[in-house]
Amino acid sequence: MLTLRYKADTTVPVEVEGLTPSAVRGLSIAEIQRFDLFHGNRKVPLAEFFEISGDPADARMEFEGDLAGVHWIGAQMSEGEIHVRGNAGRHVGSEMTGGVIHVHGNASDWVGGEMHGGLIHVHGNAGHLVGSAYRGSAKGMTAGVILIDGSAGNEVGLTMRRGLLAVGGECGDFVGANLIAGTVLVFGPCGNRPAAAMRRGTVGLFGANPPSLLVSFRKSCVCQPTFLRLILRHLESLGFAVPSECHNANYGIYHGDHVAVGRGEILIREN
Amino acid sequence: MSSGYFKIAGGTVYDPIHGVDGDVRDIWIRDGQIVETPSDFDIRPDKTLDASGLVVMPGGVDMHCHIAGPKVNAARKMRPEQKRKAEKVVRTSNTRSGTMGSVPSTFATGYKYAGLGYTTAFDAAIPPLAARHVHEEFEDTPCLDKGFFVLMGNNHFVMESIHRKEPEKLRSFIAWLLGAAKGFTPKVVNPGGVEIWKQLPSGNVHGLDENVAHFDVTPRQIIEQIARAVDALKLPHSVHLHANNLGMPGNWITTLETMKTFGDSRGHLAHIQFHSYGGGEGDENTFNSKVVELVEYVNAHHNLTVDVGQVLFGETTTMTADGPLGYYLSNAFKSKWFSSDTEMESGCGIAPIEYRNTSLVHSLQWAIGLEWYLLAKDPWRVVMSTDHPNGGSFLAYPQIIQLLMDRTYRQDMLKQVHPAVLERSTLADLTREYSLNEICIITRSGPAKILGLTRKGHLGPGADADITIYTPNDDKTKMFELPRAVIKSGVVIVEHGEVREPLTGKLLYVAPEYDTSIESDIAEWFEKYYSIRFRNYPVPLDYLHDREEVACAGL
Amino acid sequence: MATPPITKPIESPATVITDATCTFCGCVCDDIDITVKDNHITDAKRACVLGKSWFYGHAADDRPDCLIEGQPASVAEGVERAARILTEARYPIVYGLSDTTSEAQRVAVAIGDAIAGTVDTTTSVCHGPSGMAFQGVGEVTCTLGEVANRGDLIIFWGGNPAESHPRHFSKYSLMPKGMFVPNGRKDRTAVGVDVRKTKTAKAMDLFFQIKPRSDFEALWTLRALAKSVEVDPEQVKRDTGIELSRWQDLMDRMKAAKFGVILFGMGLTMTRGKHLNSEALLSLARDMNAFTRFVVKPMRGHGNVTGADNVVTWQTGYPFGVNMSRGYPRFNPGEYTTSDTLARGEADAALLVACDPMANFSQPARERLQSIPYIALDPKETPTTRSAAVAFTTATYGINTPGTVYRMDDVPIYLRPALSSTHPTDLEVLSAIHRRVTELKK
Repeated sequence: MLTLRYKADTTVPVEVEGLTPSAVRGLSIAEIQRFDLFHGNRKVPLAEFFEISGDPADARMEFEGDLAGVHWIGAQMSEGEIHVRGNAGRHVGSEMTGGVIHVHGNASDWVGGEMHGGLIHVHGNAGHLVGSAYRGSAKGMTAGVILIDGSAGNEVGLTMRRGLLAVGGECGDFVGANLIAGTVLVFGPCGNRPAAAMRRGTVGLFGANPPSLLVSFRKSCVCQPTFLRLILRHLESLGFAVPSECHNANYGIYHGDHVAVGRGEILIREN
Repeated sequence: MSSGYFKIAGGTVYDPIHGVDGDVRDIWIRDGQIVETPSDFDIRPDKTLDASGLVVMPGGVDMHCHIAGPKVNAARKMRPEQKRKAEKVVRTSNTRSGTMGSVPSTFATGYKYAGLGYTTAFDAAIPPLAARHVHEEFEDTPCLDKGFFVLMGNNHFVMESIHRKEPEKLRSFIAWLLGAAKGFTPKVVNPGGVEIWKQLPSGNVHGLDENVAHFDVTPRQIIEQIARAVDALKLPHSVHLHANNLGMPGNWITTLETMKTFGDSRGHLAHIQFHSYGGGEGDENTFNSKVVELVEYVNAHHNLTVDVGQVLFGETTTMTADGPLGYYLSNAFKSKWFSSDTEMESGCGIAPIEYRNTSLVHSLQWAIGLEWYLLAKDPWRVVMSTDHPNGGSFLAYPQIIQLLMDRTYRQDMLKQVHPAVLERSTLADLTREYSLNEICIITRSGPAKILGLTRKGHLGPGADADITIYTPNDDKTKMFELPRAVIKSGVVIVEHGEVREPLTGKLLYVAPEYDTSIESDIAEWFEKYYSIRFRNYPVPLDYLHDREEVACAGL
Repeated sequence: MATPPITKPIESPATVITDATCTFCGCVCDDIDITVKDNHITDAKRACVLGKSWFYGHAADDRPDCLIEGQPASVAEGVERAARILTEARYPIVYGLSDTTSEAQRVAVAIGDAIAGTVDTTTSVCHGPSGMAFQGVGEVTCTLGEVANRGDLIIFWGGNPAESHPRHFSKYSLMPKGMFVPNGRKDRTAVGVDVRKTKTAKAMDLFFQIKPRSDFEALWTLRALAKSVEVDPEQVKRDTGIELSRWQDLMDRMKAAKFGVILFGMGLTMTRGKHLNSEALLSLARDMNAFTRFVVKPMRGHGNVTGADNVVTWQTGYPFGVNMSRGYPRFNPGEYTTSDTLARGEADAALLVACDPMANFSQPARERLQSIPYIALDPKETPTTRSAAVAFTTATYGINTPGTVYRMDDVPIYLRPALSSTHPTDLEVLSAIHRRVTELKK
């Protein structure tokens, strides 16, 4: 395991793209210390901002400290494990294709932006645009699992193409907007306009006081869907806390968004 | 003491306009121009570039591309997702940063064109109301001499003059408009069709003799009259036409009729590939190539020239002044869609597109482009283009060259496209391979001649010293992708792929004479309908920095 | 015969500059006749009340061209100091740009490139969301002359043009006798949609006073009606505050129009939903083109904010919020936009051109700006210039300086300045800073 203890004190953004388990695996500590990160517009060796110790051979990295100002942690990683013992900045796990990231604190915006595989688990809160497409993209996240134990902001799962996204706390507006397919589940309260322009896929709103849906959604039935039971168990197996009331609840199924393709569904917990 | 001469020594020179086909010779440059070899043997050049073993050609001339103005800029703005994933253009001590994708930013456009050995480019379609915008963007597009074609095929004053059968007024108006915009020639896009689009949902014209409501003219009349006016004005380049029914199965009939409409007038048909389709109305299952029929007509009629509009597989962006076409494409591909109607003048449509080699239609489009090059008898009248970026990026030109010069490469690619191409086109049977001389013609000498630019596209005395030097390579894509050196106006601007000196380049425009009494008519028309003042419309000469008027000479 | 002495006139004669351009709002009216006397503008014929305040509010002043830490200095000293601040910074931002010429904007972006900084314009606090929506779904639009010549159903959504763009109705959207609307106002139906009855509402034939922050729901209702999707009338009334029957009537009129136009403002872009509100509206316009011709136009504010969009786009490929820290442009609204880079304390220096963030940004943003060295260019004295490390008093575009501006519909128009000024132009100051920055960066 490679340990990187953050020692900088700056509000200028620090960007660590390329610092992935695959990249450091074959390097010596001295080489890792010379790895270029960006501090605003300056290239800076990693050792200037981090105390580095340990052994990268097992493709496991641990970041320690408050890294709320450090961005692109785990971006494009394909294998291995990253733990952030503290907060993390923007674009955690952006475009990753494999491997696991745990943030044992809060993360900022764009967690898992256009993710293509792997697992991200934020044990605190996340910002806006979790598992979302970047501006202008016709499709966003295509595979992988994102788990947010705490709350998330707006546009969670925007234009998701495939994958599984679960938010334990509350989320903001427009969850699952433009959803192409995939599953987004919110266990806390949620903001307005969920699943606007949804094409296919599933959005689950399981918190208390679910929001009213847009006029272009139509209730079809109430049931206890089997697939949901399986997903909830899967989430628990990944270490995500599923409120007990969800297991045996009834769910109203709403079809929409009929303003768009309209072959998606919103599940709302009824009891 | 400086002699002021720059010598390119011992290169293998291709200069088709002067019948030079791979002769080893020197080229002398002075004051930005190619000059006679000095007769005084004592004169030493200040600088010599040893070109022995290297291929020397005039700088490339792209006579039909979309690189500046409101339509191009809207497309840039619309595709951040493509730019995010594309090659990065990094700032250096003498070059600006930029972005690529199918619609590069301005500085990147200039550097990349120069990087391929191009030194002149013309934007194919500009609404004159936006002329100033184009001039500003051109100022920020380095390394190239530039010009643009002025949209007129749906211009209200033009249609009125044609309806009233007033060819002198039409002629004066065209001359005035070219001078006001500082443009190069009239561009006609889907004549009449864009006006109908502005009037009706999914509005368009589908035949040359359809009536354009409110103006009571037909597309045929528009084409015919503008073509005649252009020849009467003796403009260096003919009228430049994007014919009706672009992209529609069966449109070859419209195209053939359009060619006939020119009569004896000069005419250039743009991106002819998109206009060469047989088949039923909208019926993909009968879609096929009609290049054989069309090229026969072009071969026999020397007043006509074409540029191909080659399609290449991959993601790109369609952008056209053909408003209804943009709508059609975005619906067909379920993509985002930009459209803007310019008052009194034109329209525009933008939609991302991906050409796939698994698609029957796209594969046929690819094949049809190649058929045009391979079946045309006269390389002087068939110009290379991708209608950048509509068929693909200009960065694909080296690949097209390889497809034309290397039959095996072509046949290999043919094996990877949709099999229907084998029955529905003749490409599999075409064994012709282009020579370097012919490549030189279709990428520089031919377009220079068609544009009427007497100082471009050749290496004789008096030519602008725009020269590209290539290292020979059997892999033609590699050869043409990375010139050894590119010279512009006598200055080495690119060497080994690096931009050394990004010159601004000049604006090439025409200023034909006209009967100024028409200005009161135009002013009245402005007063009634335009949202900008007549006095604020024309671009004065002092707005332009480096510029050169191209004379309207006799034919 | 001796030449008679030249008699000085007792008063200098007034001159009239015709077809001059006003840059106060996005209308960019270019038909103003300005009367100049003794280097003062005494009349601005055809200018609206905002235009008049613009033209009359420019008296010559004797403020210094440059202040460093509030003390008068030469422009050269200011340029030197500015260049040092910008080249030493690790996250410098260039912001503002909307109230200056495109010639100056081009140099400002060049500076941003040279210092590997972040370039952003006032678009990001105004119609930036519309720009983002445009990137998502595209846009169907036209130049203003098309609205004047063809528009027969004009919808004003979330804006108050009667007060923000006073000549818009008469020049472009309601009154003009156009080619296909020969009877002007009589051939048009004007519809207003807003959360309160403004002066604009009074000029409308139909007015929809929707529930605050329900623009998205209203637009979604219209989108559903356009596609004949059945909707629950009670829910519509609950969500929007307006009966379904009224929305249905509006949709019927929209489908029956020959050329529908929706002009929209900050009420849409700056309320909850922001870019997704804009996206709903742009999508509605696109939907409508299946039935009839329909266009939208964002009502741009400052005179040359559209120019700023255009310049930043053609030079970098992205319209605003462009970061060049890595030596190439990156775009991400919410990350590289100025209210964010300031509020989060990321920017460590700034070049502010023709804008006043100290007056109108959030508290955290203002606090950060106060704490970092920054350069401000402005013809006026403002809260922003007062706290600047280096402040340049520049000539006013359109009044003192020529140059190109872009109207709200992207039409480029050249300025005809009326008065002379002793102050340097934005273009001169920025060019000098660019030169010095380039030297320092070598």
